[in-house]
Amino acid sequence: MGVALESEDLWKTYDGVNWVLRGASLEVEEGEVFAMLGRNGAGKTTFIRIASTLLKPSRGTVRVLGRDVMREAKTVRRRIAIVPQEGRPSNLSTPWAHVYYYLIARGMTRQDAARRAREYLEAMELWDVRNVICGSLSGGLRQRVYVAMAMATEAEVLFLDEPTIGLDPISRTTMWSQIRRSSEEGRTVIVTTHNMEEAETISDRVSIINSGRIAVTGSVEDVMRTVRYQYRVDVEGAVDVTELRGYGLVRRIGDRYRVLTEGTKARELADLAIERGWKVNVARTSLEDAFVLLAGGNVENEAA
Amino acid sequence: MRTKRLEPLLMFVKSIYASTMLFGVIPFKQNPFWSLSPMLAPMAFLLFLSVYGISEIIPYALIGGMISIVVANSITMESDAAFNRLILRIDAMFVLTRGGLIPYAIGLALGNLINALPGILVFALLLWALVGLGDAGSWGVMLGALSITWAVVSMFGYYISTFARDIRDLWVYSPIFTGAFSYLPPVFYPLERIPVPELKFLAFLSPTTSTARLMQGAMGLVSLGSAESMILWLTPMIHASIIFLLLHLRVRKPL
Repeated sequence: MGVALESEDLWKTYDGVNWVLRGASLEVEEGEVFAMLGRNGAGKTTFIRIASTLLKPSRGTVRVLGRDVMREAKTVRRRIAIVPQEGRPSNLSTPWAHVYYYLIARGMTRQDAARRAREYLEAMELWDVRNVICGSLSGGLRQRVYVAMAMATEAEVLFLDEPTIGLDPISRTTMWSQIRRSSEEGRTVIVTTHNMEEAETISDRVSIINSGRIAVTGSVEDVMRTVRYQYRVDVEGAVDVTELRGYGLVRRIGDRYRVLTEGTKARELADLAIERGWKVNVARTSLEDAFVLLAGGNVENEAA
Repeated sequence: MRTKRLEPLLMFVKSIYASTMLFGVIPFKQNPFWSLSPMLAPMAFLLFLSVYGISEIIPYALIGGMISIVVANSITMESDAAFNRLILRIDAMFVLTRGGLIPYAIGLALGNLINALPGILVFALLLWALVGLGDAGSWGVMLGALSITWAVVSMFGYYISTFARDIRDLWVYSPIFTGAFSYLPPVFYPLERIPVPELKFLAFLSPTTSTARLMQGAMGLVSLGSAESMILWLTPMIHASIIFLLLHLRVRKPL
């Protein structure tokens, strides 16, 4: 497997004062689904826009399929496709027109464009509405039109910037299947998401980006290993927060408190909760917990 | 070998075709009434002239009407391009085509021209009925002048769109530029009606002054020498070059 994308010490500022990216370095292998996780404004979209030749970095380099995205932008552009964040198709055109004519613009013959448009509209469950103007489609269907446009191309690297935002669970799983399918066909998919289940389900590796810096990169298991707490205990009731702090890291979620802790302490806290009559739920820590720890800033402060 | 050499050109043309279909032809089929609104103002002006019996201006108003329809449709490039960039975000996808942004933008501009065609046809038929058929050369000049108007105003519209941070920024400009390019300069009336020489010179800041005069000359409304004709063809080319240069400097590299 070769390297599909490598960024080295990538910096970006829009105003010369605030840095959106601060030395982001990472490598994505060919054929893998790579998820970028981060809070709003962490720099994920900026990274994607630079890597897809749409934005110039302030410092550092990005190479896609071995080509520098700034110096060899034209060559890179032929081999990649993007689904922009919060993009939506034209209300006055149809899903078929979007996919078919986009493929023509990408250089396909009419026959190939028609064949691939059909294949991907079917895959994205848009075939039945192919001739309905997008303005009459639901938000979820409209969202899938752009993904079908990008996936139907011959691109070797796909950048999907929050492709499943606003989709219902069934549409989301359809999308996930297509993303995995692209990877099985040998394409590299770089996807940004806030959905931890999505990242766990579809990605071979993830990267958590925090305030423009790559906090961690690796498989979901690798990321989980960076968290020293194996359990999370959710408690609800007349809870004294200061008491909880003795067990581990505490975070308030609505009326509940989530305590990230170790095995023995998890059991002790669960016993205490039962004794006090609190509602309690014990589970293994998840990618979401790791994400909150690595990208969430000072967790303790949130409970204060 | 020859096919290989022609491939970039074919790709370019295919991209223009795709963009025109997606952003022009298909939306036009959905709502053909779009072509009506730019026709209304020149038509009302024509009616006004007829009611008041100002018949000697009517041929100028017919030519002005054709130009103003092209201007009104082409200047919408500013809001269309900004809408595609800011709301649909589809331009990011079209950057990643073989031709890149240029055929996408040309397709977008051709799409706007499609909306102008019914209006141009109506005014051309009126011109034919009221002024005469003219020869093929005259209509060649007319088409050339309208094409230049389309190209310059579309480029200008695209240039303006690159500054927009919000689509509402641009709503105000279309009527302003339609007025500035169509109704203020001598498009609906002869240049000679401007009393002050300095103002005549100033009128050429608008590319439509030259194209209107060329069309007026082609239909025999004004007499043009060959030197003046050449200058009139060159002037909008200079406009086009300046706007192209500004546009190139603005979009040549990612921000």
